[in-house]
Amino acid sequence: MQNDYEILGLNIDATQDEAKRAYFKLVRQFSPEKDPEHFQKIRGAYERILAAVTGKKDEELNFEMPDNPDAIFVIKAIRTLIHNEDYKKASNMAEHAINDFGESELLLSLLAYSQRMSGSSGKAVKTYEKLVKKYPKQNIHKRNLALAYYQRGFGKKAFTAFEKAYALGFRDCDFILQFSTCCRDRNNYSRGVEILLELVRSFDNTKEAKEHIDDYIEAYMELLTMNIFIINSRFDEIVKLYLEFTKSIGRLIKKYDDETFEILLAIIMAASEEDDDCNCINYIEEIFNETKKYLPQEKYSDQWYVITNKLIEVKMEANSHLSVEFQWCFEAFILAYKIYDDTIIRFAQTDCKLLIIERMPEIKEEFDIVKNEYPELYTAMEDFFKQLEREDISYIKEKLLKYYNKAEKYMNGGHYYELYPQERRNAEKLQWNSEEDGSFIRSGKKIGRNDPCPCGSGKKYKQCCGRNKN
Amino acid sequence: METIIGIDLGTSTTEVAVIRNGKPEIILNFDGEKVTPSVVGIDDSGNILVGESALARQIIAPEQTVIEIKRKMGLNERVHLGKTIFTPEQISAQILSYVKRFVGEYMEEDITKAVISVPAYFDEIQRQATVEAGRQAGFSVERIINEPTAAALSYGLSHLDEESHILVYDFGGGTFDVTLLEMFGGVLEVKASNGDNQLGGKDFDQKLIDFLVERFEEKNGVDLRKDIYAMTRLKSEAIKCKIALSSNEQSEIIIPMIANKDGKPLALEETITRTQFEELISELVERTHEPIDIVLNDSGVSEKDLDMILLVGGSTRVPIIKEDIAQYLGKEPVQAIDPDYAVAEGAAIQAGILSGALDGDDSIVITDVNPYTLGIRALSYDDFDYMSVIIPRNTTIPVTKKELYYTSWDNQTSALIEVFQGESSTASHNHCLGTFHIEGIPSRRAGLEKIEVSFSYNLNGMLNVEAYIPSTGNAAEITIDMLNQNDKKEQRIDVSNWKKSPLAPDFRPLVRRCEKWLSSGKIAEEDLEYVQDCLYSLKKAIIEEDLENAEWYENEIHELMEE
Repeated sequence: MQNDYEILGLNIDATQDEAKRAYFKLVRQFSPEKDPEHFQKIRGAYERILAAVTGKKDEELNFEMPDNPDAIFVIKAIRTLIHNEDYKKASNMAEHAINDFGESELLLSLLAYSQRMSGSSGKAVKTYEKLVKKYPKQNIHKRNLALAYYQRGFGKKAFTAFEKAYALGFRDCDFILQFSTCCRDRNNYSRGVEILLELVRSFDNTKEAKEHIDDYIEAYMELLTMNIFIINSRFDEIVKLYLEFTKSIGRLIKKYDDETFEILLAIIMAASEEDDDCNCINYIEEIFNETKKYLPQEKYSDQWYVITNKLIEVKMEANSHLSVEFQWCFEAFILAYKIYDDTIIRFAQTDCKLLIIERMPEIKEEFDIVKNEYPELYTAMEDFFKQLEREDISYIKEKLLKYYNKAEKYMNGGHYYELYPQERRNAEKLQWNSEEDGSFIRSGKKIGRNDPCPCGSGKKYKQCCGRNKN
Repeated sequence: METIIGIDLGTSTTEVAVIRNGKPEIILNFDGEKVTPSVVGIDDSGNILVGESALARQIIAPEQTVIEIKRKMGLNERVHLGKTIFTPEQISAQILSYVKRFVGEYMEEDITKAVISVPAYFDEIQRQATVEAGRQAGFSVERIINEPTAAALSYGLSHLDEESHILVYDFGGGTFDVTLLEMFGGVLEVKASNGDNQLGGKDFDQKLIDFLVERFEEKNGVDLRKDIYAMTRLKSEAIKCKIALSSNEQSEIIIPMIANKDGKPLALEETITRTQFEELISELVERTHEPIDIVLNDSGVSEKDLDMILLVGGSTRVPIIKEDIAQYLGKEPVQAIDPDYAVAEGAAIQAGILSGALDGDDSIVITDVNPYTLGIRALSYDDFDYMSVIIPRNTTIPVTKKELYYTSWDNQTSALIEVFQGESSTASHNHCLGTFHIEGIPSRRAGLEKIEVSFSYNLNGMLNVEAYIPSTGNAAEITIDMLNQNDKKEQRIDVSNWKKSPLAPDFRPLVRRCEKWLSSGKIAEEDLEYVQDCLYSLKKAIIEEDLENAEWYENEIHELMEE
């Protein structure tokens, strides 16, 4: 079988430019029109060669090439595999190559890299340790060893190695991000925040930096997460930097719409943890406006719905006149619609309804505050409020509880049983448990078809709630 | 060598060209004009009118006239023309058969083959509708070419020696397309295409009309929208005003007696300034930015590397468009080609390449891309409706790509392969092109059995999808012919198990001989497909234990081999 270079009639050491010229010349000869089969072959070869040439330019894989043309060929093949993210094959090939051509720094690096990327972290640690020992002057191996340690799960060793490499001056995104997660794992949040802040501060408008926007976004995410745990919050600073960041990447933000909304949510959540004298709210608003320029409300209505309502929820939390139950209600009755599916929404709403019933009648006084200050929530819950006025509360509760107890077994995050654990036992009584006693036990007296309906409507049961029961 | 013509079937006008003496030439219609309005009408005695005569009647008989049919192509809509109801394809077919008639007269021969251009961002349904319209008009549509590609071809043919990155900005009457190409060594390589197939100059008109109608209602309290005659007059005046604003700072619209109020006639009088107009359409102009971003991103070319921005389409005459591009990309666009004829000329060049009218050293070679992502529905983590991409958008075609999939549950013995086209990561939001089953997966634990799915997409828009089980060699495939939806090939079943049929011993020698013959390479190319089909049908008949059919194909193969 011909290799890619032979297909294009090139020497193994051809440059990118030569490859391009050869490709276009061949296309004129074998155009997709005249010879689609052969054209595909040429195109495939060209794409793979470009990948190998322009691919991984990383420092870590750029060591001196051997003179042996066979070795050069194998190395290019390994690089192509690495570019195509076929790391398993790449590491196998590198192992064979080391057997055939001996241990060169380049081959060992390629081996270690593909081992690390294919998940063979144990092997990677060994190879990097060998590299560090053999080439002590090459700092890059020390950086990579730290990454490999961390990947292998050697937390303590990794942390020390990270600090060493950091001291040697490594500051690239990948390194700092891994270092910071290592810090987080070891609960060293302040160190994590410190190095990440340094990273995001270094963002400038160069092309290189712009290629790593996703890394910077990840860094902000990490920052916001870790910042919650440190004593002297750097929230103000993070928000200010993020605003600058949003401004400078401009329309590039469109590519990272999901991530951006995640960050905005994280900012709002973090803001709620801050003290009242935090003056970051202006910055947050400015960030929103800046983001809306490229991620407009019309197009991202769901996301902005969540964001703006989340902000209301945060403000609600700070409202001392209002019980915490309403905050949960807000989540279940307003926010949930754009995030969760119907079963979860129903569960969350039932949860909230039960919580409110438990605190009746004192919570009833707050209904008016809700009506005045959060009209949206009030409208969403109006039916329930009216039901509370109209119907017998213990009956409503029983109905809700039956459903809740069933649903609670496969749902998370309900507050009700947490706050009122005794209710679980009450609910169990409502359920028919055939295994235990083999018969259905009614919790109350039987309701006759002609009895007044227990819902309090005044109608006969058969004409009210019992209408659909034969 | 049979002549093939190139047709630019536009939203508002249609142009036709052909290659003569190595150069494209625009064909004149019956009126001696290069441009034919894409308008179809019907007169009182039921005769179909096309072009200028239909346009002239629009003012007096708007309900007997159809305009801008291109915007409805591929939609499941019907249009009324007088008392008759037509599909959009049938209306377009009327325009095309008018084209066929005047081309026949101009060329003095009956032309039956054509290359028709469509906006790059037309989806498969819209392309199929276009092919169908051509077929109804009596054309065999040899190729559907993307309009920006055509425009670039018409530029490229006279600039063969250049080395440049060209951004074609095609803002037509009904659609908007951006395409990035690289011209290198006489090859025109399309790198990426994107656009908005519901954005065009007609939307500018609409904005202006809405504004005028609102102003009129404010002033006079009369809503013109219900009056189809008034609206037709208003529309033609609005278009004139839009055109005037390209060269003047302001334009006056006066339409006397457009409506009546309390028995008194009312006139519409309004002066529109260019700034006003620009404000009205600013939101539309804004919408062109996203496709530009996507194209730059997909092609990996930054705006600094652009050597030329080529303007195509009538709407690029609007000054704010040019200013907006210049500002957005930091480079002045050029009008190096005639925006009205470039697409038809490019289509003719493509036709010339196909027919052989253009050949040799001064010809141009072009490589195109597929504008939409292709893939299958697969399970990913907990997402049952995940669009697993096999050929990403803007991949150079023809192309063949493979992906490996694994069984999703224990003892899974068959899989449904559903082929989708579109950009959403949720498969069902995309357009389903076809489905088929692959059977005979060995019964094992989930994830242990592999299914290899390969997609081949060729220049004619033919997508072949094959599923293959490496452990047993079982295979099944489907061919989706994007150009000829009507004679869609039957769905093929997996025939690799034919040997297990009780009929197999009787036919085994023949099958083996035929297979040998197929792999020998001695079959003439034009017969190859037929032999393959016969062999497939024979195996199918064997599996289905259909002796009569099997014997028929046996005979057929015998005869073929003896020839």
